[in-house]
Amino acid sequence: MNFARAQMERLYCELAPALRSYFRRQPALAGAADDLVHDTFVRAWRRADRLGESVSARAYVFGIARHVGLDWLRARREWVELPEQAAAPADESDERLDAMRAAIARLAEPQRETLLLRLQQELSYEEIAEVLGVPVGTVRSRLHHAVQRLQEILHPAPETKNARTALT
Amino acid sequence: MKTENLEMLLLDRALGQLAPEVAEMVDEHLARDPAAARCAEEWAATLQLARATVAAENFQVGDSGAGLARVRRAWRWRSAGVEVMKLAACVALGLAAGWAMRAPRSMPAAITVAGPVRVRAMSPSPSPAAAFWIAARREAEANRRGGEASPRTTVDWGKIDRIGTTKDSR
Repeated sequence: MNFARAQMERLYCELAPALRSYFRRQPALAGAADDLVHDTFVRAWRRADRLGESVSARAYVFGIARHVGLDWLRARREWVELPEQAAAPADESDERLDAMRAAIARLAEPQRETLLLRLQQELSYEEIAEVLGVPVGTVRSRLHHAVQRLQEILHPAPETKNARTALT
Repeated sequence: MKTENLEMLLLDRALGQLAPEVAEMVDEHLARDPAAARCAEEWAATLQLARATVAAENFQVGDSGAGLARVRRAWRWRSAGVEVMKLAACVALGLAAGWAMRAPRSMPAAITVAGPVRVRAMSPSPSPAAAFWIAARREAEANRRGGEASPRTTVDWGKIDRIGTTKDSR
């Protein structure tokens, strides 16, 4: 019991900042990020026996965090309509970053979620697959389509087509 | 190699998810194929820019959240399901009511009688009033027993009559 508690405390110290960031970067959850982090660890503690079955502790906790976030949204039926695009930071002057931000916003939700878990949280394919509850092949496919779509949005169509044609 | 397969490998390579031996093979292929090498550079540049974008502290997902759309979709389906269930319940209720209130079945054209039924006539039940212990009944009872009243019901009627007379005279 003490070992499990020590392990959970270590996990909290290690993953709580990443989880807080994960929640804060979702506008609908940002306001309750701290509560959601705590809920995540409470739920993780209650199901600590499943930790050993997971690909990694990180995947285990992020998988729970994802469900905690969805449950939180589900419990609040009165949703606040958010702007279609997040407000750009005032001090951001790089047009390329703005364009990429807009392009990511235009991705389909499963692709965007997969991409963000990879790029923001640095989860491996196997970890992402466990978090999302999908096969590893689906994760690869979603990432592939996401990056392909980003290229299509960011670069003019002829260039992308030419590059793809050149590969064959 | 198919374009899509190569792109998947290039993506894995850019994300650092390739096994070392496979990465080595891909690198050899890229060294021989300039077009593929240029494509790999594009993929890597796109991923680098995406990584820099999402790494910004104030980066937020563009729309209303990663899970919000899914929750909304699920809720919409759930609401639609509830409506369908309500409609189905109404239809079932209407059908049940219609079945219960439908017109009675038509009688058969010919009725076959099995045979005459013998019924024994019953004697009419005596009136409840006949059970009261009235003077006429008493007299009839006394006559039936041969003019002798029951020992338990011996009553001096003359004395009663006298008492009644006395009270009336007062």
